[in-house]
This record gives sequence, structure tokens and C-alpha cells, in this order.
Amino acid sequence: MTELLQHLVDGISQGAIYALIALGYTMVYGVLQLINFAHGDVFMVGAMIGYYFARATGESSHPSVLGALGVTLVSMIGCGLIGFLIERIAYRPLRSAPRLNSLITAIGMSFFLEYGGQFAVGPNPRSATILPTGGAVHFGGLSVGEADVIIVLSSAAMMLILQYIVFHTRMGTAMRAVSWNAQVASLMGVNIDLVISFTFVLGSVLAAVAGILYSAKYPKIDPLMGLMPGLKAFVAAVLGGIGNVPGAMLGGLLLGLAEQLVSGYVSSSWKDAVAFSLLILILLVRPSGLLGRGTAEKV
Amino acid sequence: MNVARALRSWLPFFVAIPVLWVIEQKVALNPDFGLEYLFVNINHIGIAIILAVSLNLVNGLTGQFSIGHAGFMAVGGYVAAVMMMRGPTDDPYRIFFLLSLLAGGGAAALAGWLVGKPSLRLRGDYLAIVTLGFGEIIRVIIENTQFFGGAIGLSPIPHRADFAFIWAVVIITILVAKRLRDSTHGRAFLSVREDEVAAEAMGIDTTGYKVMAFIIAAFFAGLAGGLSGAFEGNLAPQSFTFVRSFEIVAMVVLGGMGSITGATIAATVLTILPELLRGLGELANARMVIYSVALIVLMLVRPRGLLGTRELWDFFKRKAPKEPSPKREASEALIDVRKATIRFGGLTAVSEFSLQVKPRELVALIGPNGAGKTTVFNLLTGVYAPTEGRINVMGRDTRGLSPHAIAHLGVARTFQNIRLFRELSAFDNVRIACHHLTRESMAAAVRHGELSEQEEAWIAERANELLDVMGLSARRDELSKNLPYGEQRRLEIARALATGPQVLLLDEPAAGTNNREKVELMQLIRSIRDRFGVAVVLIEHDMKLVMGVSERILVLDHGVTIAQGLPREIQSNPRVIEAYLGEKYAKEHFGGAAPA
Amino acid sequence: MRRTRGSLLLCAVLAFAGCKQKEQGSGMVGANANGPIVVGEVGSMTGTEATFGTSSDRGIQLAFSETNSSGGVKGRQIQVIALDDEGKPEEAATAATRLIASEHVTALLGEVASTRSLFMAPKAQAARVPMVTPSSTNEKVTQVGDYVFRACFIDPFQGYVMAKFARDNLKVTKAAILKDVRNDYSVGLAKVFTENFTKMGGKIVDEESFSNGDVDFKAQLTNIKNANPEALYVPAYYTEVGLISRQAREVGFTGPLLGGDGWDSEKLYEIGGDALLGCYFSNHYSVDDPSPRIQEFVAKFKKAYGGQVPDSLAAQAYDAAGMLVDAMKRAKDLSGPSIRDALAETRGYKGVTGDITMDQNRNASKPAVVLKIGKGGKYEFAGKIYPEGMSPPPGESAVPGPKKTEGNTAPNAAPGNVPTPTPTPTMPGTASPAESAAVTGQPQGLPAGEHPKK
Repeated sequence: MTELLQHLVDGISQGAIYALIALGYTMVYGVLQLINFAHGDVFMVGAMIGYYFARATGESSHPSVLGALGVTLVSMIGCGLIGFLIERIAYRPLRSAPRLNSLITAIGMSFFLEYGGQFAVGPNPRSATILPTGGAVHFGGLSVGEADVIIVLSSAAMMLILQYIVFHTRMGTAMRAVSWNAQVASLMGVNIDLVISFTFVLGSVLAAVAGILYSAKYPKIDPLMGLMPGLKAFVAAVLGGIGNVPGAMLGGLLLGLAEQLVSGYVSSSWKDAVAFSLLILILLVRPSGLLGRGTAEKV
Repeated sequence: MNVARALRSWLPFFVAIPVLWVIEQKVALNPDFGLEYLFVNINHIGIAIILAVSLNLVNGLTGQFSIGHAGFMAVGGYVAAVMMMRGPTDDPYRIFFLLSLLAGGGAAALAGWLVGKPSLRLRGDYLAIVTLGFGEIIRVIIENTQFFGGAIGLSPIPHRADFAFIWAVVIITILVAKRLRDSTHGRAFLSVREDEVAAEAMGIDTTGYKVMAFIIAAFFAGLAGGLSGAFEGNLAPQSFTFVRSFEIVAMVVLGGMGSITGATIAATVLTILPELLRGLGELANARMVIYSVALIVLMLVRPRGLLGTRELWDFFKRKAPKEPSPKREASEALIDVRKATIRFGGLTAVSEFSLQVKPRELVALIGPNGAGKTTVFNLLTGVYAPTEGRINVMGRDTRGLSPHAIAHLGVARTFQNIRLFRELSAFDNVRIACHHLTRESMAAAVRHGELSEQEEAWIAERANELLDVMGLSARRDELSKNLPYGEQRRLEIARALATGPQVLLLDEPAAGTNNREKVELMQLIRSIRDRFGVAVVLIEHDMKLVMGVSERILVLDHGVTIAQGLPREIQSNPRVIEAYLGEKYAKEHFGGAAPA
Repeated sequence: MRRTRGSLLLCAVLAFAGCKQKEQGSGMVGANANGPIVVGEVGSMTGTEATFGTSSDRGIQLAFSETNSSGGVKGRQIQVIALDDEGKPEEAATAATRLIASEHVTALLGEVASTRSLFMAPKAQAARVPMVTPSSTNEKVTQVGDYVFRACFIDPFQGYVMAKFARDNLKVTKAAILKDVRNDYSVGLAKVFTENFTKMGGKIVDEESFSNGDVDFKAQLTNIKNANPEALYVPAYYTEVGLISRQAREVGFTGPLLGGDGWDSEKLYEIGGDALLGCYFSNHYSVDDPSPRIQEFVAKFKKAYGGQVPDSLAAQAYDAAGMLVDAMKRAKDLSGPSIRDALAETRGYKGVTGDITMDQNRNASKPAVVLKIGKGGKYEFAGKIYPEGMSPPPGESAVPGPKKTEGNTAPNAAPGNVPTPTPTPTMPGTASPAESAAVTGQPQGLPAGEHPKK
């Protein structure tokens, strides 16, 4: 029984990370209908910035809460900038082109960040301590890492903040308007470019936080680390309903749990297959996702 | 005559195969020339071309996003390899190899069907992710199955494929793709890409064509996999990752979606590029970085790809007798709607609508905006299914029929906001609508025999005639998106007529036209009825047009039929006036008395 | 039809042009008797396995630059052409073809992964170009033909080594296994470990797997912990082992982790930290081995590569290159067949990863050491295990001398010759290194000529 509980605990923790990354995906998709493949790599950049900054400032050897916050802040700024640049350079010019072209560019951008990272800093994995977390807390046969607790709490907090932004601010309303009909929104006076840039920056900032938290739980950072988590996070976003913020959280948690349970009771080599099978299943049975709303096309 | 034509369609093989064979034996395999490296590259290019041209059928021609092509390649490759490794060690005439290859292709085609059937109703980018997922699942299965060699792969695979075999298959792939594309089936694929809704309305079984494209593409990918294994002598799951799929997609997109020539060129360039970049010395490790930057830049600079949708077209123009379409008896109702109702959630869009359309009738459907008129059309053409009530077309109950099936029955329509196949010419728009009247199968199209040519000629003649009737002959080869508005409307009508309907549904054909054009339109509608013998149901707002053309009018308001009858009657019907102009106006101006 | 032919012609021209441009160092073998000897190298310098490829490349480059500065071979300098295969098997085959057919290399070095070596080997064999793989451990590689050699153990030996160490030295009766199912090296070692461990009377209580690239192993480790093994065998690469060890401790498993030479890297401790204390792995050499040969190598490597401590891949590659040079010196001329014969006659070549002798299957026959991870990530010598038919050279005691403080080590506080065993409360019956010394063993996993038909 404790085994099952342990798997559940681990699943929630892993799911929280997927959820954080998924939040960025779902927002960008909601506004642009673009699967930003490079999102997972922005997450990697966030972890990398964290690594270098932590080492440079000595945070790595003497982690503290203040230091961790500082590193995270720097990483957020860095990633926000990168997200902005990516959108400006690679996606904006293609807004009127067929969707597949943006998909290609997104994938190309993803490769650029991955291989560029390998070229620039070398492919070797590296590790730095950023958060002042200890090891695991044991109780009743279960082990829960301090990092895990921080991750789950941070994810929940991020989700709440995002919900607030989307539903209770002007920018959020503008984002929602653009996601429903960009053309009409612009006719109503919404600055589309600004909204889209904002969305990208917001998503990238979230990715940075995800990167820092991820490296606290899995202290192994390398340029290719974002590929799989990125794809999985996309699956999570679709699972919960693309464009839907709580949906991303739900999807992330479900995916994390499913993966852990399959790893535990079947075999971990089928983990990736699980993620994609779930995706296929949900798209066939309920394409709008668990929490999403379907839209019919007007003929 | 038949012999000559058969010869012409098989000619490429008779010429190419011996040439390829000679090149392989004398040049490629000759150690004195030292050209192994060159030929390794050439063979890799060949396999890339097979993959790109086959994927082009799905991504380019039919407009579906598939990024799991490597998965199909893996299926074909592994099935073929397993067969070869367990088969006879001696295979001097490569018969067993050929069988293995075909088995691999068949397995891949089956996989294509399994994946395509459920997923092809998904929207663009979702389909992309599903196919990506499928590719990954395939790879995971292979890696975890010892029968397929697991992570280390299969080896040694007998080396049965080299330059000749590979390039023979390349030629076959390109020929099949070209012939399909040039045929009426090719236009059907294109119509799915351009506008699925319109294509369905024109009688194209869009889902069927999407699945077919998937299956054919998967088959060739499977062949490529088998060839690759037999050439390298090895097969490993690492060769079939998502990155591989993406590289193939890049070839299709860069070459220009739908262009076979483009896909071929792009496949060549992208396969060679990494090898060329090798010589950069220190920068060699930046190869992949340069590659990805090049990709992004190319996308930004030429989003349409190298060749767009352009291709070289060959026509054979020849006279062939036109086959008249069957006519029905004059008295029965073509369309018979009995109290059809449709509700969307809490909103009743159309309530208890009834209508009988007799042959050669001119009926108009009018009402204020939002009355449900277009919804009625959607019910008639099968886009929506009624919540209650019955709809019969040509005597058949349409419940459960898809739009293209109803189009086959003889109902054609135009759309309120014009749904032409924008990137195609006027000629092609009309030709596509002729598709469902043809009988030629895809295999026949590939064989390119006598039936193909006859049907192409018949289609061309029919299309030309319709364009002529609509006054669009001069615009025949213009892209439909470039036509002036009025001509676009006429083109849409021509296209609808091309399906050979008994009933023509026109949704606001006069929208956006001026007075002179409206008069011409009135004459046009009457002449269409006279010449083609169709019944016409018209949705219109322009009262002059409606009154001038219709024999009978139905008035809808908020989904309810508030009046029905002759034009004169409707004109003075107070309820109608009230619905259009409001109660106050009706009282003020007409107070019950009928104006002249 | 014209178009198809046109494409064909276009392709041919492009490919030919590309090829023509890049021919460098191409003289026919023997044509230029005073020019450099061209050796080819294939490795994964980019892609998911880049870290392994670059490591090997560094070892090779170092070896050859040493050779060149001491006069080269037969008076000629060695020029190495290294090609990247991006971690893709077909690319490895293409690179090999290019090196063989266009650059006319005298010999070929590569690859790290057995899958890619398998794609390369047939090309080398067919062209009669000797090929030495530094790190591919799957037996099938050298079975391709008699021109293919390897400078490292094959899977069966290492699996045997650790099984024996676990049974005899650590007195472990129940073990669990966590293997990387995507890595044939890992799968092979796990299989052989299981065979030998059970044959020696042990019991495998649980076997779990993961895929390289994974970062979360909680599910598998939870299952393992519940099966209550005394030790956990993780024959994977350091890239995952670090995280595995951390998570194993988080889950509450306190027994030692055991592994193979894939663990060897300075990054291991960087990622795994103190979770690795008291764990053991088999390796070719110990960075702390005071033998001057090894210390010189480590020093030179660090100097050449900005302080990076060589991992086992770099050391093996260094030895593969060195072995090749040695063979070239002994060979009567620099033709393929002569070098091949000289390679086959390699006996006791003094590499840093041990004294290498080619057995009849052209695999390296050399002892393995077992290292223990101590405080600060320092490796401590825990035993040396020889293959059958080989005994320790006279004068060498398997007991290590005074420790040097090199690499990822903290200063050694304990003076004296014999290191005291680090007390690990969870270890049942830790044998002292002195007892575990000079254990000779017989690799049991070597199949007599049969191999699984894949």
C-alpha cells in the first residue's frame, strides 16, 4: 500500500513540473494556435542561466533562500527576453503563412537552442545547487523530498497568479479576446503584437521558474534536457484542454501520475509510450480536453 | 492502339531499369573508381526522395500535418529485414528480397490505415502531434522487443539493395506521385487541402481521401525502410526518431507543398547539406546549428517553399464523347423535408421546417438575418443532422449520410461567404467538381491507360463548357483567389453545376453585386434552370431579384416559417413586413392594406 | 520522365560536387611515402551522445599528438581525420565509407556505441582497413570480421567481475538490478551479472529498467526498495547514475550501488554527491592508481584540456589509439593486412587501462579493477580481477601503494600503504582490500561461438 502511495506522491511531484511547463504552452497556443516547440528549450535555458548565475555568485556553494530567489529572478528576466526575441524574429513574420510553416520554424528554433547550446557550452551534463533544500522527509514509510513540496506549492501558486492575470486584468481580457478572434480584437483596438509578445514573455518566465525547480529536483542540466519534458508538457496541456489554465495543471498532474504508475507497475521503458497513448486517446475521445470547451466551425 | 499506349505508360521502366543496372554494376560497385562515398550519398538521396515525395502526398497535396513518417519507415524496414534474415541465404534474382520489400510496404500501409482512420478527423496541429506520438510509440515498441533486436537493432541484413534497386523505386515513387497528382484523384486531394467543407459539398469523400493519402504514403515509406535496411546491412531504432520525421517534413515544406519536383530537390539538398558542411573544420560541430538556422531563415524568406504548388502540367487534349447524366422523372419531389428541427444547445435554430422541391422549380428562401436560412441549407446538404424531423433527397432519407454522399445524390450548393479552392485555377475548381462522376480508380490513374485519358478529356470538356456558360472562359487559368468578386460568385455556381446536380442551392448569390449584375444574375439563374434542367433554391436578401426570379417563396423568421406562397402574396403579407421592418413600420405604412 | 532523369542527373552532380570539394589528405596508400599517415575517427560529437564522443576524441587526439612529438611512426607523422556521426547509425556508416573510400585512411578508430560500430565494421572489413573500437562492448562487433578489433572488455567480463565482487567480497546474497534498456551495454552487463550472480549462489530479487535520458527513477527504486535487496547493480552511464543514487537514498535504500566502467567521470560525483558514498564500480583503471603511467596520462590530459579529468572513455580511446600506433610500429609495412596482423599479435601492450592482449576473438584480455567511492568522491581501490589464464605480473601486488591526491579527490589524511576500509554500517561484512586482492577469476559469460541471432 505504501508503495502505491509513494508512486502517487512521486507522480504528483513530477506532474507539478509538467504542469508548470504546460502553462506556458497552453497560453501561447490559446493566443496563437501555435505549438511552440521551442518552449521546452526555453525551459532548458532557464535552468542553464540558473546554473551559471548560481556558480558565479557562489550561491551554489552556499545556497540560501534569498540567493535562490535572486537566481530565479535573473533566470526569469533572461528567459523572458529570449521568449520575446524568439517570437519577434521567428514567429511574427509567419503569422499569415500556413500553419505548418510556423510549426517548422518552431521546431527549427528548438533545434537551434539545443544544438547551439551543445556548441556553445558543450554537451556535458552539469549540476549546481540553487535551492537550499535538504534531502527527503520520511514518514510512515513514504519519502517526500523538500524539493517536491516546493515544486508543488510553486506550481499551484503560479497557476493562481496566471488565472488572476488571465481573468482579472485588462491584459488578460485582451489575451482572451485575441485567442477567440484576433482580427476582431484588433478592430476593437487591441494591440495584437503587444498581447502576443506579452503572452510569450509570460510563458517564458514560467518556463524559467520550471527550469530552476526542475534542476532542484533533478540536478542534471544539459542542452538537450528540454526536449522530452517539453513534449510531455504539451501532451499535458492538450489533456487538460488547450488554452485552459487549470486544465494545464490537471493535465500535468494526470500525466505525472500515469507515468509513475506505469513505471512502477509495468516498466519505465513504456513511459513515453504512455504519454503519447494518452494524448491519442484524449484527442480521439474528447478533443477539447478534459476541461476545455469544444468549438464548432461555422459553415 | 492499346499496345502503343500501354507501351507509353510502361516505357520509363523499360528504359530506366537497364540503365540503372549498368550504372550500378560498372560504376558504383567497381572498386577501381573509388566512388563508394559518392554512391553512398546518392543512395541516401534516393531514399530521402522516396520519403519526401511520399510524405508530400499527405502533407503537401492533401494538406494534412503528419510528422510521424519515420514510424512507417521503421515498420516497413523491420518487417522486411526480419523476413530477409529468416529467408533463404541465396537470392540471386532478388525475388525473395522483392517479396520482403513488398511485405514491409504492406505492413506499413496497414499501419497507415490504423493510424489514419481514427486520427484524420482531427484538426491540423493536433494531427501533427498524434502522428508524432505514433512515431515515438513505434520506436519504443521496437526498442523493447527482442524479436526486433531491441536497442542494438538487427544485423546482419543481407545486402540486397544498391543503386539500381533504390533508384528504380525512386522512379516508381515519382511516377506514381506524378500520375496520381495529374489525375482527377490528384485534384480531389488538392480540394481536401484547399477547403474541406467545399470539397465535401462537391462530392469528394474527404475522409476517404485523407486516409488513402496516408496509406499510400505509408506504403512508400515502408519501401524506403526496407531498402535502407538492405543497403546498410543494419537497422537500428535510433534511425527512426522524431528528428528523422522532422527532417522529412522539412524537405516537403521547403520544396513547396504539393510540388513533387520541389520535394525531390529539397530532399537532395537537405541530404547533401550536412555532408557539405563537414568540411568546415572547427565549425563542423556547428553543423546542426547552421542547419537549423538555415531552416528558419528559409521559412522566413520563402514561406511557400521553393516551388510553391507549381508543377509542370501535361495535358493531352483529345475528343471523346460526352456522357449525358441520368435524368429523373419530372413529377416526383426532389427534396422533401418534413418538419425538420435543429437545436444547438438551448437555441432552436430551425423549427419544423417543411419544403418540397419539384424538378425545375425556382424557390426562394428569405428572411431577416439570423433567421436560419443557411442552417436550412446545411441541413439539406448534410452538414448538420436534424434533431427532429425527416429529410429526403431524391427519395432517400439523408439521416447519417455525409455531405459528399448527398452531393452524389444530386444536391449542389454555393456558400454565403464563397468557398472556392483559392489557390487553384478556375479550371481546376470546376474540374474537381466533376470528380465524383468519374469511374477511374487510383490504380488506373497510375497505370495511365486509355480510361485515364478518356476521363481527363471528358472532364476538361465539361469544365470548359461550364466556364463558357458562366462567361469565365477567359479566366480559365487564373487562380480563383485573384478573380474579381462577381466572377468568383459565378465560378462557384459553375463549380456547383459541374457536379451534375438536380437541385442547386444558391446562398446569397447576389451579395455584393451592383444593380446591373443583379439583372444579369436573374437571367443567369433562369437560363441555368432552362439549360441544365435543375431546380434552384435561392437564399437572397435583394427583393427585386427574389421577386423577379422565384416561382415560390418561403419566409423564415427566428427559425419559424412564417409565410409561404407566390411572390405577390408574400409581398403584401403583413407578418413578413413586420418581420423585416418591425411592427411599428408595418402599422405606420401598411396598416393592413396591400401595396401594389 | 524527362523530369525524373533530370532530377537524377542533378542529384548526381550535386553529390559529386560535394564530394570532390572535400577530399583532403587523400593520397593513395603508399603513394606518398613521406607524407602523413592518415587515420580516421568516427564519433558522436553532437547529438544526445555528444559527451561520450567528445571524450573519446580527446583521448585519441592526445595519444596521436604524443606520438607525433616523439617522432611519429616509421618517421611519418600521424594525421587524424575525425568525423561526427551525430549519434546516428547511418551517419557512422557514411562517415566510415567516406574515410575509407575518399580519404583512404590507413586505419579506423571508433565507435563508442556498439550499434554504431556495427554499422561501421562491415565497411572496414570489406575494404580490409583495420578498425579498432575503443569502447564498444557488444560481442557482435568483432564477430563481423578479422579486421575488427576492440581495446576494451566485452560485456560478459565486466558483468562477471561485479558479480564475483559482490558475492565474494561484499558477501551479498540478494541483489537487484536497474538497467538502461536503451543501451545495449547496460543490457548486456545486466544479463551477464544475473547469470553469474545466480550461478555463484546469489538471488536477484528485482530487476527494473529505465531509458537513458530519463531523470526520474522513483517508481523503479520504490519497487526495488520493497524487494529488500542488499545491493543494487546499476550498469549504466554516469549521466543517469548520479541521479539514480540520489533518488535511491531519498526512497530509503541504504545499500551500496554497484556499477561498471560507465560510471567513470568527474561528473558522477558532481551530480550524485554523497549518495554515492560506499558504492563500487568496475573500471579499467583508477585515476588514483599511483602507477606513473596512469598519473602521467592524467596530468597530460588535464593540461591539454583545461583541467578536465579523463573519464574511462577518454582513457580507452587513448589506449585504442596507442595500441594502433604500437601495431603500426611493429607491422612490416603500413598496408591493411600487415597492420591487421600486427594488431592481432598485440601482447601486454601497456595501456593506461591495463596491459592489453588481443585474444583469439580480437577482444582485449585485461584485468578489471573495482573502485569504491569514498569521502569527497575520491575513488579508493577495492580489488583487481583478472580474466582466466592471466595472473598478476611478478612484483605487482594488488594492494595499492600510497595514494596521490589527483582528480576529484580530497586530500588523503591517512598515511601508509594500506588504506583502511571506510566503515559503512549498512554493508554486510566488508572485506578489506587486502583480502580482496589478487582474486583471479574466470569469465563465465563468454559464449563458445554461439551468439543470439538477431
